[in-house]
Amino acid sequence: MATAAPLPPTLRAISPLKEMGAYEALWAKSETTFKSLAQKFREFPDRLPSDFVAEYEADYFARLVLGMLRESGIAQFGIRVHRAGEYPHKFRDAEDPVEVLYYRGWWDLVETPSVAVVGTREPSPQAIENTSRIVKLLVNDGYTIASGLARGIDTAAHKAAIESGGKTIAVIGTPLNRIYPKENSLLQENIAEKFLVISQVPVFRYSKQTYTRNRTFFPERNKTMSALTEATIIVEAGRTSGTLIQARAALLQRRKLFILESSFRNPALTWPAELESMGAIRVRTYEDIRKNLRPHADSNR
Amino acid sequence: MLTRIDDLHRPDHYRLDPTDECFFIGEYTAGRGFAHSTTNQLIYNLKKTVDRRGTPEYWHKEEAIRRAGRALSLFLNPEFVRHGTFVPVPPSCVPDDPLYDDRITQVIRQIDPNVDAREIVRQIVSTPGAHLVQVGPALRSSTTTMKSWNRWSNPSRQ
Repeated sequence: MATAAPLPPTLRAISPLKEMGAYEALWAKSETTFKSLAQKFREFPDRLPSDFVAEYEADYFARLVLGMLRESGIAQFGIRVHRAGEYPHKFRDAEDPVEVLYYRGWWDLVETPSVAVVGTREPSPQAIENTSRIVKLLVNDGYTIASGLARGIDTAAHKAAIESGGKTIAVIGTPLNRIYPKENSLLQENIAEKFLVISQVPVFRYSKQTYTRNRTFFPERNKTMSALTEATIIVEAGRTSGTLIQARAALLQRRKLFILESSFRNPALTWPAELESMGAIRVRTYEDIRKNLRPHADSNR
Repeated sequence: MLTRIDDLHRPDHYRLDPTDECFFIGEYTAGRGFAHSTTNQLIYNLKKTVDRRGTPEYWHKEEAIRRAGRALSLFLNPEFVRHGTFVPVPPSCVPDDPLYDDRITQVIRQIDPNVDAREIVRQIVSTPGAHLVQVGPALRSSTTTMKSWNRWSNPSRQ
């Protein structure tokens, strides 16, 4: 006698591993960009990555990437999928919001009040000093410090946050199993263990591309970092710095954007005045930052 | 949407095997306190002890029960809600303990007041709440599955 199939208990549930595999499969197509993916999900807002990929394909890439991460020594990592629990709505403020995020460490830090401190990879000694001072004051005010783990200001920001007993989030422009620059290997590991490392970069696609093509992932993570945080502070940046991508993203996402006075004094730079006219805040003292941030429960103010 | 426990999460739940179908709404982080995350706040409020009933803070527990029930009703299959049977995880105290807390049954009732909920797994001895101890209580030794389902079944479904 035939028995009826049991009723599925849920309408639909998200399997993070399957969605990761589908995301990697979508990225395996050479024409895929963050823009094209975001467009796809704007057109079909109720869909998941696995709706655009055959099941065997999602499964194949899930196993492949799981293997690649484990081979690189990443035993534990997590996946956040848009529309599943613990994916904060604020990430949707990004111009091209991502459907899948990889992370290592304490995901809950995304819920803490946070500020991004970013800037050039070749900072002046004064900029390093400014970074350290601002970060310590922000930590004292209860903010988590986000940055991109790049050389220069980013590294100084993460280190200052850790040294002053604060929390830090690295939003990296490489997959979880890659480190750039190499000299930040210990720092990345330390942040993954005690704090949080987030990546939106597909593992398989990255492994198949040249360094030049992979460089395009860096500015994309800046948009995500801006969406994660309530403000971005530019300590020092050149004329063509990727930091400026984050600056524009912050304004577009209605986040606060702070630019240190020293950048305004540099006659070679036109972007500080341009961004100020678009809503950026000029910082002469830390008070200019503090009074423009929302007070919160952990603040020492 | 609910998240399915798949091969990525399963190593954290060694009692589950790949044939078990388990879903969850959010992730509770142990040892990090109430303010750590939205889910931690929900769980802390759900776990407020029943001896605080009547105090202003008890409102947070009732609200947490409503929230959890609402979240489940959004994601569960309405056909399953109509025809399925729900077995709540028992609280840490035995039913005649003054601290007995049927919060999970109340969450289930929020999904639909007519849902078939049966308290067929019960504590036979009160234990400290899992959130209050480092290692979870030995489930097998302190719980029992009731042999007779009929005793708790919903008469309207007979």
